Amino acid sequence: MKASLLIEKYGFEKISDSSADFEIGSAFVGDLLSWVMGHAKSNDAWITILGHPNIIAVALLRELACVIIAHDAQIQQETIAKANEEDFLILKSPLSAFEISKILISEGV
Amino acid sequence: MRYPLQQWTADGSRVVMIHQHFHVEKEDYANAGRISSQIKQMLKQLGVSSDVLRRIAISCYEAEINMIIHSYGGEVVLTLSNEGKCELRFSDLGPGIDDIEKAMTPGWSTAKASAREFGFGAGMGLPNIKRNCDDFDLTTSPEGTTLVIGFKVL
Repeated sequence: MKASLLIEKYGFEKISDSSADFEIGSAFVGDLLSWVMGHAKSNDAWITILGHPNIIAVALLRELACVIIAHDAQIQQETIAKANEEDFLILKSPLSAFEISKILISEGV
Repeated sequence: MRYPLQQWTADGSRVVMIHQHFHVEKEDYANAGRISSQIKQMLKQLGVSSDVLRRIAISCYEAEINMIIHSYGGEVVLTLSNEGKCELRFSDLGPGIDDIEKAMTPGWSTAKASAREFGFGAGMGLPNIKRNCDDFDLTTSPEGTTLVIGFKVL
């Protein structure tokens, strides 16, 4: 599925300037950075409640597709600024990580 | 610009292609990952394969974070030789690791609450590094810890 579908069909909020016109192949859920570094795969969409700028560093180093912030968790302005600088997509939703995962699975991810 | 690594071989003598120092500040969470990103970018431009690059990026990030969270600061030295070896040396100014065996145990962490709030302190740092590098050497004392990790890049 395209990341843009999460915005158009499910009302996810796009909070960085990057394009959402790309395919999401798989996803990873986690809130511990080392766990994500160790276990996520390249091009995964990363579902998390972390909003610190370090999520962008991890996502870029691990070459993840995008970050999806669950539960409308608070995200710092520096994180958004860093994502914009790196042309990296952050989406946000009031749904839980589980509910976001269900959407991704129902769309064939 | 990409430089093919295969062209680096010189008549059996050791030629260092990159030797660079990076400074790490204690508790500088805002810049965590910056050195790892720079190193990854440099090695990518030199044509290091994506699999090796991934392993170097993971290991470097974990070691950089460890220094930020746990040490009084220190430096990272990247050396890439034409023998096809990439070495990363992380040297800090203390206070040392109390129990290396515990520190190497997945899930064991001494990270403070402030670090855990940022998603650090999973206790997977050293285990992730060990799993991803080709050579691993860790020495510690109250005066400082030195971690040297190596990767075959050819």
